[in-house]
Amino acid sequence: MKLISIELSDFRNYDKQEIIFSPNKNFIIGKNAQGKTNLLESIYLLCLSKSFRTSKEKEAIAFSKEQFIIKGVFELDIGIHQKVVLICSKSNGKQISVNRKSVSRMADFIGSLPVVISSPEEYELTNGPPPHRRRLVDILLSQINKRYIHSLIEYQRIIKQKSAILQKGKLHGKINIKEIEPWNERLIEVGAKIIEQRDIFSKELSTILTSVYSNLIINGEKLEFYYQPDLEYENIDDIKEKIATKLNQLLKKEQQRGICLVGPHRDDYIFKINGKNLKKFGSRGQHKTVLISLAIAEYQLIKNILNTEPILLIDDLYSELDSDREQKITQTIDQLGQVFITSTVANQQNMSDNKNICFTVNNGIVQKN
Amino acid sequence: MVYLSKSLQQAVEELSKLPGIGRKSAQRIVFYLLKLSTEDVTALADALINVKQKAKYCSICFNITETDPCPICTASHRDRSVICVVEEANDVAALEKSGEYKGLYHVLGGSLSPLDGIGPDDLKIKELLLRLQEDVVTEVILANNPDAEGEATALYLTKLIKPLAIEISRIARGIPVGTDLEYADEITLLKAIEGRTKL
Repeated sequence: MKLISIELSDFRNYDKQEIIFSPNKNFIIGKNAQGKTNLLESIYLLCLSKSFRTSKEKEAIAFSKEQFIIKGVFELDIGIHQKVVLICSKSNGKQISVNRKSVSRMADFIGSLPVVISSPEEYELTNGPPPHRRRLVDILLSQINKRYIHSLIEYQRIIKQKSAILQKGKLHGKINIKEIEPWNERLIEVGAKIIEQRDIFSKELSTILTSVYSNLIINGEKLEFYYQPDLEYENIDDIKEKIATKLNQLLKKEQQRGICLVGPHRDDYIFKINGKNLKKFGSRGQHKTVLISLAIAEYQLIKNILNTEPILLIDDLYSELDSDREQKITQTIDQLGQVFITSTVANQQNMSDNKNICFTVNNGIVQKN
Repeated sequence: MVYLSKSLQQAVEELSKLPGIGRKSAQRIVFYLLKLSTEDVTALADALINVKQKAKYCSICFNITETDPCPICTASHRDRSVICVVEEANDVAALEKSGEYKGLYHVLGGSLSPLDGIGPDDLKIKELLLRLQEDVVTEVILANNPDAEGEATALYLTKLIKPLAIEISRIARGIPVGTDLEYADEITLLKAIEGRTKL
């Protein structure tokens, strides 16, 4: 799948902008705060209906405007064109249409235009608290697995409902256990499905990630990615029992604190280099290389499963990398499909290839070089 | 909307409070009504007032009815040993249209949703249990919606009904009849495969 062109109206610092892209590499060069990341964000939003920077898309409406519009033309692998329009207005919220037909359930749309981002704003992924890593895996799995996204939506609803009972109980000092029971049962049922999928795909992602990382570095370090579920289990078949037991154990505590303490909404993932926790021991350069490896690994996992090349967005590629790594990464990315790369500096080696296109961004205006 | 007269504005305002009707649709409906004869508009207004004044809840099954108990609860030819539990009165209408189901109903009046402050006491659950204890019911069919709230409500009811030694079943989910497989959305297909039956 390729993004042929995009048209932005009143999106962040873009007034009106139409851009035709290369089906290969697109370099977006510009100084800080000119709109490079905004452009990547618009592509990401169009593909996924969500932003990687904010959960409130309305924030991206240009100052003093009522709405933003992103229009894109995609070419699917079978050669046909697909026109996708996303409108986000202050009064009506977000609406997406595909070939003029409006999308009623976002869950049906997600995954149809697979996309992967690597951004310095994602630094929290390797360095920050668990929600960032859960979000990464949730978005990846939602794109490749319909069952996962529906389980996830239902699970989040169950947690909200159960929390409402616990909070009311905390407020009034008493709780009817019978009221919690059905939500706990659903939590076990749906939660187990989520844990199973996370377990399987973390292993697949880790295998790919290890190999991608080893190709980018020269010192033979080994990068691994582990699933750290809230519940410890040896055999995935026992998972329902384990959740039930822990729910029982923490029932009192949940009531005292008024929050849900058991389930995959408390899961985490961990990156290890040579067996050491990256979060604790990693250097800035290692974090950066891991983030880029992760995006490439996600790209390959999606490609393996969906049998189509996702769009890869890499924000601020060359910062914090030495020339060896920069060269290796450039070589690796060269093998991939359509990639959008932003940078403050132009890399001569890439620009010379005439399959690629280089753009300059200056204060919300994009020009082809 | 200063260009609309006051009475027009009021009519649009009232209509747009209805579910599924936005301001634009409301305006279109009002302009359409203006074109009708006074008799037609009066007939519509009378019908609305009439239904509001006459309709009430059946004291047995909580379906909407004009006579209490409702015609379904009093029908002599219906199977009194089966009760189908639904969330809303319009679910009864939907099931009745099929003409296949011959048992009785029980309308809960919604589903459990702590977020909206709806607990077991806000639904007609106690009333259902009373019916199950008194009547000659041998089977309960749970026809709650297949969303998070519907599933939890069905589980809650199952817990309460199980000790009464009454058979409980949950309606199946699957492909709508008349729909080709290729047009069913993925999640419907997934659920249909999960709930497949042996031949």
